[in-house]
Amino acid sequence: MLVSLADVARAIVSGVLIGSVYSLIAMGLALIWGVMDIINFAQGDFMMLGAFTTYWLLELAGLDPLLSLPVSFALVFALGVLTQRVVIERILQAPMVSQISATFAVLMMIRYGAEAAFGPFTRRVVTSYTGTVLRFSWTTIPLTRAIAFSISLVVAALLYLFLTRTYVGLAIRATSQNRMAASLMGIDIRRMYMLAFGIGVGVSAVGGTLLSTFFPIYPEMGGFFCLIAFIIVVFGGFGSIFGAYISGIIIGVTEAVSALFISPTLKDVVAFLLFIIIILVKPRGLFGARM
Amino acid sequence: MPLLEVRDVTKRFGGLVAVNSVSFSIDEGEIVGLIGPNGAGKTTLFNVISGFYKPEAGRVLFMGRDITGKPPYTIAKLGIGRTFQIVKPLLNLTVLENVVTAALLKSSSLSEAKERASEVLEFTGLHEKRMLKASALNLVERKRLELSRALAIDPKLLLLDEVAAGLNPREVDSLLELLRQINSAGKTILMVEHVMRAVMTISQRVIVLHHGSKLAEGTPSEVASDRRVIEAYLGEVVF
Amino acid sequence: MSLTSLLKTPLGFLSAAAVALLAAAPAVFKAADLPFPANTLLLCLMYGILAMAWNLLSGYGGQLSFGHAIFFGVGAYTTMVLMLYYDITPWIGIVAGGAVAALVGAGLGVPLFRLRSHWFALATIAAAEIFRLSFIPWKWIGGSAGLQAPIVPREKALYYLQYAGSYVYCYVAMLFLAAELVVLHRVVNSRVGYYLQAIREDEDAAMAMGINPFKYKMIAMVVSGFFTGVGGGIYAVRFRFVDPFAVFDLITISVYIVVAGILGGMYTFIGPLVGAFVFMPITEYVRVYVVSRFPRYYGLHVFVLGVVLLVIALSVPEGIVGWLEEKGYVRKLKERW
Ligand SMILES: Nc1ncnc2c1ncn2[C@@H]1O[C@H](COP(=O)(O)OP(=O)(O)OP(=O)(O)O)[C@@H](O)[C@H]1O
Ligand SMILES: [Mg+2]
Repeated sequence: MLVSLADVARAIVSGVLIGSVYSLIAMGLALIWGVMDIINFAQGDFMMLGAFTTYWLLELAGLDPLLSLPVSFALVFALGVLTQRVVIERILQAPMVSQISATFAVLMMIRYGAEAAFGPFTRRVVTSYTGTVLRFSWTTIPLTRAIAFSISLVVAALLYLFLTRTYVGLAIRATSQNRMAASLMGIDIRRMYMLAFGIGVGVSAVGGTLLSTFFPIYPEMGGFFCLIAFIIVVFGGFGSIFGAYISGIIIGVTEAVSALFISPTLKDVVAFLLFIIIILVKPRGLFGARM
Repeated sequence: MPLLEVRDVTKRFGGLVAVNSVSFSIDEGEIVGLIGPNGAGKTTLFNVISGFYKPEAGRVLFMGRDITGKPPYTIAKLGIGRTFQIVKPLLNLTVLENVVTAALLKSSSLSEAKERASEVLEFTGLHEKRMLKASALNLVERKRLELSRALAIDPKLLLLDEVAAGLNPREVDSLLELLRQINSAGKTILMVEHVMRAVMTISQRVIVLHHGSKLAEGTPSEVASDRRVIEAYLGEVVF
Repeated sequence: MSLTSLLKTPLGFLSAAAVALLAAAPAVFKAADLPFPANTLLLCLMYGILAMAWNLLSGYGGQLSFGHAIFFGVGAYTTMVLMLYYDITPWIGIVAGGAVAALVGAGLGVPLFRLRSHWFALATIAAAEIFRLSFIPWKWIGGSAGLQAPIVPREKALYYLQYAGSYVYCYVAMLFLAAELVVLHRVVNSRVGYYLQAIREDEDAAMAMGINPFKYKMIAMVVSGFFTGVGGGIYAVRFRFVDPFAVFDLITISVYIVVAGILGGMYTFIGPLVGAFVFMPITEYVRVYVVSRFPRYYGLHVFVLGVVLLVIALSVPEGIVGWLEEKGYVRKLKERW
């Protein structure tokens, strides 16, 4: 099989576009991981809820995905806050087994609750501009992906501003660095955790909404994207949410380019192998340190 | 041939030199104290000897054998037992099970290990608590458990890291009596201790570390009257 | 211990009664033509085998595996391939499946045991995905379509271990479960059991006691892999069908095993078996009676299982047997009448 330079260039573009959506899902995971040292196995399923919110709002109310995006964030944010209060809060100091099994239980409840409610079918979000493409001399870009990329950039920038410029954002970061000191400074740790978890899963839900505009959705879709998010977070250095953004794009590009050379299943095998190798040799990730 | 020989050992953490070219040796049958202000590098030195850290430079020889960089379990098998300053009880196991685990090293069967563990617990005074989970012990008892486990692997050399911390004077006395008995049963002891009365009364020799380097070495009275040693400790008080 | 002395304590009596009931159950189910309870019992036994095996590594050894589907799948495929391609009886095939799974365990242990806690757990998930994805394009063993065993004539039933319904397989599973219980009981009450628990509680303390953690984790992985592979072999002969999606499934294999172990009590010997006997009937009931009647609600059984797992993780993290032990009920049951 011959691969031309133009093919590679096209793959890079499409990798950047899909990678920017991966990045959003991964940033949410990294935020939660960094702030409260909890690995949220259900991250991909909160993302799936975002995608389905978009789907149902379009089906039932004819709401455009771009307009349902804030709704999807708000709904999943609220569910995240609830999850934090009912589940996560009680396992923060628990042994690892309880932590892992509790977030796994949340995963099972969301994923299979959705499956029981919506059925296991694959669905598509179809709008008037779904088939529209932007034509360039050397490549074409689906409009939906271009929109997803732009919004992902905006959301990442907003998250950055929130965490670095607002009081609440700074308080969340202070909590992630030193729980004790933050609490002595009068920061309400419990509230920060609720916000961090809510925002963490909410950002992933935005990723789900964007994804749904060009990718088939189904209740079990969270599994794959959660694993991708783990790879990205580990690659970017866990806890580093901006590292997660960059490495999401790197992973997207790597995936798209390698798809030119190897079959799709093998491509995923390579991704998981890479994941194991990275945690074996570089447990702190490429961008080290914290956010 | 000394039982333990430490030659020019250096251990760094990033830019910090925790142990700086330290040398000393210990003969079989001795009780040696290792003292020094907080952060002097005592625990780090123990971790190097027992194989938990690899030194950047220098050698550790045990019974004439180079054990530098060997894994901790190999060093334990060769005959060096240690306690941890920050105690590491096996919390979900009973006191007896904790010690049986250690005793298995030199036992051919489980029943033999159980017998030895019972003897050790009888000796260290934890026998009555043997059926309690280690999580039910207080700090003083946990330190005893550390000692019991280290004894149960039947080592030639015992590295004790602050086993007297937190004891009242009476308890210190009984601990010292215990250590003397252990010593007269043929075990060599190297002990880190902040309780000065304890080290100074029981040690035949004392080694002083300061900022990672060996500052002095001698009999307890020699060391106690050494100007540099007094300054090192005073320095700690002043700052 | 003789039978008469066993009957002198309530626990002994209860155990003997449970064994007698279990032994009679499949025959009764067959006579009364009750396929659903028989099938549920088989699943209890099978997941019991799996969860007991898992518990050696994850409960005693503290190395939390979410990838036991690897061993299950490898065992299932080995049994199937030996039977279909080499005409080897599953009686040998099941044991061979265990052996191959044990080998795979040894191979995986070398890289994975360099990782601790969360990282180990994550890596086992990734490793299981790698197995699943690698089996899909593997044409020799049927690729994504999997392998199906043909129906054999009745006189060959014993050789190919092929019987209608789950009744006979219950006895097959009991046989292997009994063997497993004997082996595991010996292992955990030996040096290996003590050392594994020490490694779980504190690896540094274990090393200071002369224990090589890698060596004992490997032993646990190999034994655990073996019996999980055996479980996979039993599955393969019972359902006469294996495919990469079913046997390497994260939820219905790996996570179900973990749920059984945690529900019953990870730090206890018999807990995982008890856990399997508690959770399997619940999910099976929901799956068969609710979901099959209302196929719209497909997935509800896993949702219910999620609820069970959450309740356990939040309120009884020590599991059923662990809780009974903690409250002193087990000790009371061990006293004479
Ligand atoms: N794992 C480590 N990583 C980085 N620095 C370390 C580590 N362990 C020890 N140190 C540093 O090395 C120096 C020596 O520490 P060490 O624990 O050996 O002192 P110590 O003499 O045992 O003190 P103390 O009497 O307080 O127990 C200290 O400055 C300490 O902060
Ligand atoms: Mg110290």
